[in-house]
Amino acid sequence: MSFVVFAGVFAIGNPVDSLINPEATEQERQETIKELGLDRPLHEQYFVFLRNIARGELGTSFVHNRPAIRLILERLPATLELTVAAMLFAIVFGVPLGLIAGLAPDSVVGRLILSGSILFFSLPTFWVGLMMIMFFSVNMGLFPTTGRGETVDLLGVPVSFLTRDGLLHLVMPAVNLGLYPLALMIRLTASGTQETLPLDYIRYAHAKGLRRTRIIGLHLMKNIMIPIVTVIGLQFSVLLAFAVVTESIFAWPGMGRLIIDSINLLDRPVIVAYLLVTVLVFLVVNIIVDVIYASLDPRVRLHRM
Amino acid sequence: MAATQNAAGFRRFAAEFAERKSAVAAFAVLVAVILTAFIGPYLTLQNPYDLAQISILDSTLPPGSQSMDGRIFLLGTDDQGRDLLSAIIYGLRISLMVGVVSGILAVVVGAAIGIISAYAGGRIDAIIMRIVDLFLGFPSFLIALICLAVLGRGVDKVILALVLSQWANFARIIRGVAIVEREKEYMDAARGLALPGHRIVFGHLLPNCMAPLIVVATMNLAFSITLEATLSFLGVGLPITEPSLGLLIANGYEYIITGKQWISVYPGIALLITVASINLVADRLRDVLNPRMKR
Repeated sequence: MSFVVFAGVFAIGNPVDSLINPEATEQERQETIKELGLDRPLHEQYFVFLRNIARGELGTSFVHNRPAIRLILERLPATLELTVAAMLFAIVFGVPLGLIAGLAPDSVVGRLILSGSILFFSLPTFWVGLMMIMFFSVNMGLFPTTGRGETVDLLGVPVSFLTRDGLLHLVMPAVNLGLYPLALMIRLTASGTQETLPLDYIRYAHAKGLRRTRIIGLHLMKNIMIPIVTVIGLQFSVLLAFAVVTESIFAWPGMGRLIIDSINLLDRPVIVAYLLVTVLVFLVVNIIVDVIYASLDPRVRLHRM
Repeated sequence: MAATQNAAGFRRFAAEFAERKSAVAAFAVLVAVILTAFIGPYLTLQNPYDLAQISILDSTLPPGSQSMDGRIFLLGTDDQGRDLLSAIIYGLRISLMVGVVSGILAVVVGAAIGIISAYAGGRIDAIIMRIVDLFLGFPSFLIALICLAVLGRGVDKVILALVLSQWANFARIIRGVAIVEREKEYMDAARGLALPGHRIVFGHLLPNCMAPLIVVATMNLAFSITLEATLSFLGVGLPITEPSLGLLIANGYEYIITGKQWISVYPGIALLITVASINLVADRLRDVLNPRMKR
């Protein structure tokens, strides 16, 4: 896997062309190539790369002339903050809306919510981002268009959501990124509610004379939470990937923007470092989801014992 | 199967489909979009990519303005002085073409692999499904992005990237259906006749797995088109020489801040209409054909 990517990235083009001053002499050119280790054959470059990974180094960015992994890790918090904010937005609005639609699917409100969610599925994220900038920033002047705003350090990591300015900057990108999972949450909660309501145990709870709020809040929610948590986990990876789009539109200084720039500049080490970090984050998220899954679903828990 | 039987089945299917008005409307819109894309060059004011037909003096005119030689730009012009409506129709052709070709290829590849996996069973099935899991473990957007980072730009490369990012989904779904179908009696009958493997798989097994395949394929078409537009918008998809809707939207990006929003707005609306109508049709197809599948 890593070799395929490495060889492929190797094959697309010579980064030297985009790096070296066109007026450089042939000698300067050769020196740069040698310095970057690009004069060696492919397999040698690959082994150098593997050896460096084992030592925790992923090579130096051709463009920024700094370790690629440092570049990525510096931008990881911004991307994670954006992704988490988008996910929270989707959960906080999606689950209650889905519940309303699921409890009364034939009412005007319910139908409005459900058809709205189809619309959100169809809206191309990047175009919605542009429209948001147009309406809320250019026309109404409500939110700033680009960047992260003021940040404060939380445990040594700069975050935006603790300052007013940073929070204002975060709103639009998070909503933009969160629209797709919002639609997903709505549909999932709605269909889960519709499927669970006619089940015997819910009727039994009604017969016992339990209050409606308790039945919905406890008995119903407990059961529909399982698919929701699974989808949250899966969607987290999707959002992490799609953050590339949102970051590009709102000039959010995360690793997504970096990767697009790196692809265009053929900055190989950064591309490889991005992939490795992303895959690692996926793995961690999957493990967390599995743990939550087991604690929610007694069948999974008992099966493992 | 007799032709009359097929026709009757189709009529029943069409009647059921038509029960929901929104789906019929979406289908009509979709047909109109496809027709527009097909006969596009005969409808447009100009060929927006023929330099002799455009004038830089007409650049960034708002919708409804007149050009230097008296023609009306219904949706305005872009920064090069192209009629935006013409550019959108040309872009729609490219977007649809890439979406449909990659969608069909992904279905064919995925379905073939999935059905072979289900029919073969055992170790081959296990190996193929591990590979499928590997692909499904990553968001399709990321797979496409990696492919393009590796391959570079170009129509063929975008199509390849879209196919690679989506085939696994089809393989998984078809395998699921085929494994159930495999145990049915007509399959025993086909085996009992000692038909060759390829006839059993493609002549008997595949036709009975078609319903869910059609539904996911339609849904996926919308997704392919959006994905291509997104990649092109980011500048890693189609090259400048093949301006799809995504590229048109990207062109207008810098003009949004200065209030010349139409350059991005109208191509986006065209994209939205296309994708939304496909989604509505797919939604209804799923209800009618009702395969038990989750998205």
